[in-house]
Amino acid sequence: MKRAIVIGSGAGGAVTALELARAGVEVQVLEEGPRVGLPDFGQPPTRAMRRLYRRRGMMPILGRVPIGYVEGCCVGGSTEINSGFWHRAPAEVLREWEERFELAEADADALAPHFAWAEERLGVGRSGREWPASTRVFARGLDAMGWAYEETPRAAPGCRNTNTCASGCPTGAKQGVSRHLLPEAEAAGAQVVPNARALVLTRHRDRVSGVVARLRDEDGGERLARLEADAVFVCAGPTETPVLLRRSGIRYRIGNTLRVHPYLKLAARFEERLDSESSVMPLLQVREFAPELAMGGAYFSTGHLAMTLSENWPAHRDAMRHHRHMAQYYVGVKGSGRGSVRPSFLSPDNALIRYDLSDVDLRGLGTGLARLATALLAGGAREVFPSVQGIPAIRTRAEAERWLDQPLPAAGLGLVTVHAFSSCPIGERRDRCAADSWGRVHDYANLYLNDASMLPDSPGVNPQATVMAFARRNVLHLLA
Amino acid sequence: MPRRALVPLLATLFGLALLWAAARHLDGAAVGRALAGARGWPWLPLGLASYAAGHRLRGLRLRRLLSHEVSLPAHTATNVVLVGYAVNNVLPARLGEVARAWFLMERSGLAIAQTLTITLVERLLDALVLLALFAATLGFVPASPLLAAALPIAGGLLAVTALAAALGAWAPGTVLGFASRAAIRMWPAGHDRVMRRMHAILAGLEPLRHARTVAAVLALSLLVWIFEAGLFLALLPAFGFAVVPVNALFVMTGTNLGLLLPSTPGFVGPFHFFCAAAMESLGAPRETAFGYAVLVHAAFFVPVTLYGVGVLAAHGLSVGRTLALSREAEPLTAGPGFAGSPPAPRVGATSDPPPTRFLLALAEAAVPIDRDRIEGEEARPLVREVASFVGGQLHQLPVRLRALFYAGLAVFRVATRLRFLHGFCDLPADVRRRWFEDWAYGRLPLARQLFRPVRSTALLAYYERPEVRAALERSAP
Repeated sequence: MKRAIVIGSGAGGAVTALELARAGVEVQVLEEGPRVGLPDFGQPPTRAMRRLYRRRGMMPILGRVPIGYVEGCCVGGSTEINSGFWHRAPAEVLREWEERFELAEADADALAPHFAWAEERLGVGRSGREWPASTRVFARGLDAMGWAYEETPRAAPGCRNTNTCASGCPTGAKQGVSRHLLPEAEAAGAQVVPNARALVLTRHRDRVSGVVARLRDEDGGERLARLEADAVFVCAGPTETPVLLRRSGIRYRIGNTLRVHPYLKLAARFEERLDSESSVMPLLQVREFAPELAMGGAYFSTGHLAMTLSENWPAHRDAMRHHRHMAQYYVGVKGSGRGSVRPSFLSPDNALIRYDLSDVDLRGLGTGLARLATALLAGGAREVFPSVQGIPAIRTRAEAERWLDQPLPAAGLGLVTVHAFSSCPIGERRDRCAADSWGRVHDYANLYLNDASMLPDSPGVNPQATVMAFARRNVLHLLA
Repeated sequence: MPRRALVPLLATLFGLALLWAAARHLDGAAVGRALAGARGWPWLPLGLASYAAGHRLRGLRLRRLLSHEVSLPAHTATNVVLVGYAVNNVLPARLGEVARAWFLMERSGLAIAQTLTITLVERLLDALVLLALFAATLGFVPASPLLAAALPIAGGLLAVTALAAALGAWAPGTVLGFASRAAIRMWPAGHDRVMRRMHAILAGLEPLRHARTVAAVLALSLLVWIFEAGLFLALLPAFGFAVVPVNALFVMTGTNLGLLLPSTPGFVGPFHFFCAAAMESLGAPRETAFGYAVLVHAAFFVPVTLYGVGVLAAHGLSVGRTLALSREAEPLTAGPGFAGSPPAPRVGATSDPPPTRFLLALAEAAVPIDRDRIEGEEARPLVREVASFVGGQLHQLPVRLRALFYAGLAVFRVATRLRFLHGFCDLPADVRRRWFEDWAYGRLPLARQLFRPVRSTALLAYYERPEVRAALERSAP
């Protein structure tokens, strides 16, 4: 392989580009979004949405219960707007993938060196500083419940708690891949081309000969370009990868099996002042119910707090006055529903995303809401506000535990997610997978997937670590 | 003559023979008079509506059959069905079934062997339901001895096919083992390919393993044919016949059972033959029966063909667009000397278009500007900023959602005018807010969903503004 095109510069694309460039391959990375530097990071959420988010954050997932979804669209992809939380895929999940999808050489031992490599590169570790107030009150509640929890490691060494994770870290502490990995790839010879949207893959028999991309110039002008390469790595993310492949006429098992982690947010009001807006989000994650149920801290700004309260705005808007005493938390389920991603018929450049929340998900969210609200009350919360229309503020344990037995009203749920994956699963089970165990798309000799779309199923944890480990494993296998 | 043309040719000859049989000895002038005297209004639109509902149900049935594999939107599934029907209308020998499987493969990403199997399963279920309905009608209408004799034969054939499908669904291991042994003996080099195809075929039979799916699909099939009978029923009074549902059911099932065999494009001939024969057995005069068959066939043929060809054309356009893109693009060579590589521009924040008066009014109603006591000169730019952000965000919604959203807003505006006899923008601010909240936080889930993007984005933008944050600090307890 002499030349390769990598489409997408997020967690998967950056690792792919770096390893290919280090092996002497001429690499071009096509990134749809702009290159944004530290001085432009840390803007207020609305400005950040305009600049860093795909479709300015307006990517609703349709289905039985609509889910708000966001992903990054800039050099570095979603790693620039996430919180840097880091989880290795649980060993039992990897074992399950090996069995169900006949995924070769993908157990915890096989992936360990790749996880370790990524962790070292990104400086993954715990904060080592005193926890902020929103974390301390959460810990108090979890201790009262006697649940297992841990401070989640982050790819943010030296984090200064500026609370701007979702707007890009202006201090450079959080290790989005544009911070070091992509510059390393560029130093090794890779070329990152921002503002270049891959429109279609050009094919000849069982090979992909290149990519047609729309390049946007500095003055806003656009032109089409055709790039040729010996291999193409599609790393455009869980929604754009299947759309690009399907638009290019590659459809076998593409975009049929989208999974997400549906999250329900809760705002909690405490007696003490937390000043959540000027500190990092709660750093703990509850391990007690993992991997089926996850609980942890959510991003906080007054605007985001208002959005959480907006499900019952007439009743809860007065709580905004207490914003300095409030923090946000989430309960998430592993996600057993299934979705699809298609190019929109009316506008083929856009993805139409669907996900059908399963009854298991719905029950899990109800149980999680009850448990999380109980823990927050035990930690001293005076009121807990779930983002579910029709559910009033929870003030007592009995009010919280009601949701252990009672199903949540699906029509009232205000769900969100930032984790989507599995739209083009890999594995040797040809009847279930779009690509083989190493990401090579079935029936194509030189077309590879290497991003969150390739994960065979929901990992049950933040997927960035798993995506990076798999991406490196796949590229090294190919180069070997 | 190529061998592959033999089946379509034989099928076409068979269909033409039936057309000849149906049309011979007919008084053409009497048929013309029957057609001219038929009353299209309101029966034809009613029949077409029923027929369209049947197709929607077919789409839902296909969606259900695929639910174990892929989540296909209902309209896509309906389009797949209609493409099959349209191609059957223009090509002979039921080649539409192959087109349907191919289009399903295109839309779903499943293997062609699997989509062919799913199409076969659908057809099998159709045949079973049709046969059951036909047998049920025989208790009420006099059938010809020929039809009565054909029933057990058709039933037997269907039972054998259904058993084979059930074997594949319930004992896939046995089928795979047999296929593997047979392939090793007869075509060792192609063993893997055969097994891959067998896997795909068995995956297509997978829905038959699930009792709930089978029950749902059978129920949908029953509804499909009942709605199709609606077309036959609606056109009975058009020719002066009494509206007797069992008669319509009898004619519909008799006709469609006759169409199961491959024949001419659009079943021209077999349709007229079987439909007219069924009508005659109910006592209709021969010419009127034939005229009825012609009208029902036209209702069945024209809209579906036009729609299906439209769907295929749109699909062709999207394929053509891809080809055009690759032709239009300038070739650029990769590598360090990548001459056409643009610099990495810093793209500034996209500016939003100025908000409309209606959007300004909506934004003002969505945020608690009165409670926060932000008034006058301070309030105007704030509302404009919020509305501008909301407008920009709404513009980013996927096209279909955006269209639905604006349609919903149109309903809201009409409802506002009906309720207050004034436009939303002309109402006092407090009335506007209450009315907005009735919709955005009320009991109707659809109304809540409609305003969710407005209220969320408006609140996000509102609480980001320094003057609002200052107001929030002032009001803190």
